[in-house]
This record gives sequence, C-alpha cells and structure tokens, in this order.
Amino acid sequence: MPAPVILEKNGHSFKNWHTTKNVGGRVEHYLTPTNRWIDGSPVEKGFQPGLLALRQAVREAEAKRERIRCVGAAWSLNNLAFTGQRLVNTCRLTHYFVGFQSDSMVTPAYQKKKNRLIFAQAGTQVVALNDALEKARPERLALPTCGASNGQTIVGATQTGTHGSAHAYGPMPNYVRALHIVAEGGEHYLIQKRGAPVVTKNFADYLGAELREDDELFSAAVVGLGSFGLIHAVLLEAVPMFGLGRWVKQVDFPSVQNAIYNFDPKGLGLPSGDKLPWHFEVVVNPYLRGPGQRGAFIRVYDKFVIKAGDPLPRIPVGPGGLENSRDLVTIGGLFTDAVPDLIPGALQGQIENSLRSTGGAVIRGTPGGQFNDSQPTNGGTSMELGVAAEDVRATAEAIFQVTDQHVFGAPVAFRWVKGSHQTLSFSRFTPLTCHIEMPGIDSSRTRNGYQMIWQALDRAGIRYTCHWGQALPASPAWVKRAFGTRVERWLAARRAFLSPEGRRTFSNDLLDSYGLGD
Amino acid sequence: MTVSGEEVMGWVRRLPLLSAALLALSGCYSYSYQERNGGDLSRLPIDRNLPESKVRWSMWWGLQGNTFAPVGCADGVHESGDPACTNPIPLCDEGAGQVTVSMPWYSALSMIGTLGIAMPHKFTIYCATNRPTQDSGPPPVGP
Repeated sequence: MPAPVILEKNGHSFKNWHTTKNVGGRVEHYLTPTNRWIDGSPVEKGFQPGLLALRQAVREAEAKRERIRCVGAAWSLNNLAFTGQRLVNTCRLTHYFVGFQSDSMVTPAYQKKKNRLIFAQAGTQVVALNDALEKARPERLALPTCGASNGQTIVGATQTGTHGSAHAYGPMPNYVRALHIVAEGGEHYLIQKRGAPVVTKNFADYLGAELREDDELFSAAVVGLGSFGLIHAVLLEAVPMFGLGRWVKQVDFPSVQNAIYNFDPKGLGLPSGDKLPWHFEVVVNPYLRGPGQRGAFIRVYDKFVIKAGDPLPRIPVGPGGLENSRDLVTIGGLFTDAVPDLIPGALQGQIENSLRSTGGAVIRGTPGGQFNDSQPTNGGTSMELGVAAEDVRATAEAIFQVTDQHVFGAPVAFRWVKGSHQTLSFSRFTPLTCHIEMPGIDSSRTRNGYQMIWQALDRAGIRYTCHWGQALPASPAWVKRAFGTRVERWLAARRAFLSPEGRRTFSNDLLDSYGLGD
Repeated sequence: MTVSGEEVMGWVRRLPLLSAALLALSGCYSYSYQERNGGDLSRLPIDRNLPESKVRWSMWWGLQGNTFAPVGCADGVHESGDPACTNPIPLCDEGAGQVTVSMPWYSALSMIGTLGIAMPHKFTIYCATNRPTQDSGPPPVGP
C-alpha cells in the first residue's frame, strides 16, 4: 500500500477559530492527513489514505512516547482538543457516504432503513452533511438536530456533546450509531452498542477494523472528549428531510419570564400557539430586564413536513445576503467591554442586529439552510451551563444577581434539550436539560463574571454541568459534582479499552487536571 | 480655558506616535470572499486550521500587480512553497473555499513612507474540504 500524504508543520502556532486567549499554543508536530496517496495512485476506498495516516501517526507518537490528539474545526473555546506534542488536524478527512447498498453489512433492524445511515470521516463538517443529505436518494434526508450552526466537524461536535434546542430529541451524539477509532498500536475498532447493533462484522471487515459491541464503552466513547483514541469516522442515522420555520420576536423580559422558568410558551403568541415548537430559545440582555426595555428575544424553529417531490424551501436573500441565523458565539464574541458603562446599550444593539425580528413572518428553509457557520470573532469565548429544568429559575436568578453587580458583555441564552444517557453528556439532566449560554469577548471582566457565576451556583447548591467545548471552571471539583457516578463509569470504560500507556497517549493537560486522564 | 504653548508643543510631540498608532490599526481591516455550494447555498466547508498566508507587495501605485498562486508539498518534509520540495502538489485538492485579504500593520505606514510606491497586503487562502461536484443527484453510496 502506498504512503498517505500527511502535511506536517513543526513548531506550528495553533489557535482556535475564535483566537480565544490562552487557547492553543506551540505544537511540535502539527499533522494534516489527507485522503490522497503520496505517489498519486488512485484511491480505491476514499477513506483509506486518511485512515492509514492516523494509524501511522499514532505509532509514531507511541514510539516517541508523545501525546497525540485530534482537532476538528477548532471551535472549542478551551484547550480540550489541544496538545503541544502531536496535534492532528482532521479537516481534510472528509470522505463520507450516504446509504448502504448491501443488506449483509447492516443488521436486520436496519435493512429497511440502510439508506439513512451515513459513514463520515472525522473532518466532515455539518454543512457538508446537510448538503449531501438534501441530495440523497431514494429519499432526501436530514440530521435530526445540529448545534444551531453548521461549521463544526461531525466528530468535534459529537465528542463534546454539542446540542441545539431539540427538547424532544436531545444532543447531536444521539444519532451516532458507531464509532471508528484508531487506538493503541494503530489498531482500529468499530464500536457500537451490543444492545442495538446497526452494522454487521462484514462492515467492520470492509473497514479492516475489529468490531467491538459494548454498551458501556459506546456510551462513554460517544462523548469521549477525544480521549479514547483518534476517531477516524462515525456512523450516523439520519431522518427523512424536514423543514424548519424560523420566527424571531423581541419582547420585554417580564413577558417571557414564565416561559423561561417553567418551559411553558403560553401567551407568547408563537406561530405554534401554546404548543412548544421544535426549537425554543430565549436570549436575554441581562441589563435590560425591566418592562418596556425590550431586552428579550425569542427565536423558535417549527418543524414542518416536506413531501417527496416537493421543492425544498430556500432561505430568502436579504440586504445583507442570505437571511440565515447567527450562532450565539458570533453574537457575543464580536463585542467589546472596554467601557463598562456602555455595555448594556452596546450589547442590546449587538443582539438586535444578530437576532433580527422576522416581523411576525416565518422564514422557511431546510435545516441546512437555516443554520450558518460561526464567524471568527478575534477573541470570542463563551460559557454554558446545563441544569435540570426545575433549577432554571434559581440558576437564572443567581446569574442575574452576578450581572447586576458585575457588568460584563454577554447575553444570557436559554435552550432546552432532552436529557441524554451518554455517560459524560453535559445534557445529562433527565427528562430535560436547560442550557444557559453566555457568549462574550474573552476579557478578564468576562472571565471574572463566569467565575462569579460558578461560585454563586456552588453556594446555592445548584447542580450544573458545563459545555465541554467552552470556558470551564479551573477547579476539578465541578466534574464530580456535575456527573456523580457517571465519572467512574466513564473512567472504567476507558480503562477497559486502553492500557495505562494508551490513556496517557490520548489524554492532555486539561483532562489530566480534571482527573479524566487516567 | 487657556492652553499654554508648552501644552501645545506636548501634543505636537505626541502627534507622530499617535498617527503611527492609528495607521497601524489599519492592519485590523480584512475582507473575505467565501464560496457557496450549489444546494442550500451554505458556505463551503473549509480547512480553517491550515490556511496558506503570505504578504504580497503591489508596486508603483498599482502599475505592478501581484498574483498569488501557491503550491503545496506532499513529501512530508517541506512546507508549501519551499523550493526544496520534491513532490509539489496543488495547494488545495478541492480548490479554495475562502480568500481573505488584510493589510499588515505596516501597510499604511509603507504607503505613506514610500509615497504609494509599495503597498503590502496579506493573502490568506483556506482550502475547501468538500466541494460538491454536482448541484443535484445522489451523493456517494457505500458498500
């Protein structure tokens, strides 16, 4: 077999997409594997050069006793993906296929829906999958949910437990059906649930992988924080294509308070009436919470059926280009808090600009058309909590107490996701997890604000998780408090899969500091 | 309010420094073009972790332009653009997905200092990673 092309930079200065302070740094070996052979010979299976490159990279790291990790679209606002020794940029590993031709490669339960399975290499971005699924045959497909934006790589998003606001579905890892992981010695494994297998050994053989069927291992590795090995690819299950209608309205905070605290949209005048829409989200300017101040913004997406043969709805073109949604980090990260007195008004302007009211109209589009990429912010950051639905009021009040004393430039966004059983999913509160996100510019004022909020929640005894890809408390205590016995289960699954040396190889300083490295 | 001559001179003395600082800030401006796909018109996915960047100079008030057409290197040893590369390849397998042009911090200073003769700009090319080959039709099907 020929050698794969691996673009290598030594002493590379790595930064994340938002160039967040203190994220990234010098990388001794920065590797970008590709799906091409060095001698230019044709590629028989589209993923083979990339897979071989990952296997080779692991063996080289092990030979030098160096750590190795993967980075996807570099959206994480912390050093979760980072190591300064060997960092693999997976962005060029973008081979995918939609649907299986052969019944022999899928289990009987999946033979009738084998066209809905997608095998995607680690670097495939959500935007590419959306595009491919819209064109799928015999039926057009869609991802069941996304992170309300489309620039993440599928593995980066799922490994960190990314979510949208699908209160009836859950976070993105919910539709991962199998993981293809390159682990110690460059050996590779196809991991799926024993209790709900999707593919047969024939597919593992096609990949050249060993099939592992293990519920605990799968549940831990699917939100594995990139530390079970280098994830080469994932197998996903899509759903028939659906449409999303976006509706945005600016209101006073008191009029939406009940909806936030009780997850009850009655009286808001939503297009779905008093029924909860598929995606319900409220973004609040914490400094304009009074009547008449119009400091709250409701954004909903209602699902609608698109029948086979119907034309796909397309997002209209407005004065500033396509009228897509903007993701939250882009809203907060373009902000500056250099003059604190100006923060409330400037923040309001920024939110109004980003969450423009639709004037009562519903903008219809496909999931791929609705959500957009995250724009680089030159220093954006964000902090996101997950709390049980019954703790939303107490959490919000604790946050507002902090923002009333300490002004910093971040809106407070509320989204709801069905609770997840994946071991370290930060949407872990069942039946419903409320995610409260505060995106802003990465300044000491913002960092202090986050710290004050975590401390306030600890004092109030409110149990919370944090988004693995965003700002995290420095103290490791939050991990145990947030996940309880799930931490031991996650560690046990990892220990059963990797030797002590393997665990060291695929860990990094951040995971070590939280006691998750061994 | 009266302003003494000494205060005026103080401002005059600071003026070059202030001007230089303001001119250097012009290096923060940037402009990007991003390609879209032919389906839902989303922006093409790009490799944002390995852009190719270079400062290019246009000279003589624009009479001498400057075209940037870099190549990559597949020999596993040399970086793109290194003349010692033994296996040059196209920089991007799938073409460029985004091109950003910005001014280095010294652009405005250079323009003023050389009376407009030399004007540098920084080009950054982000490779597309999934360029759909067709606007409709089936995507690749698995085994």
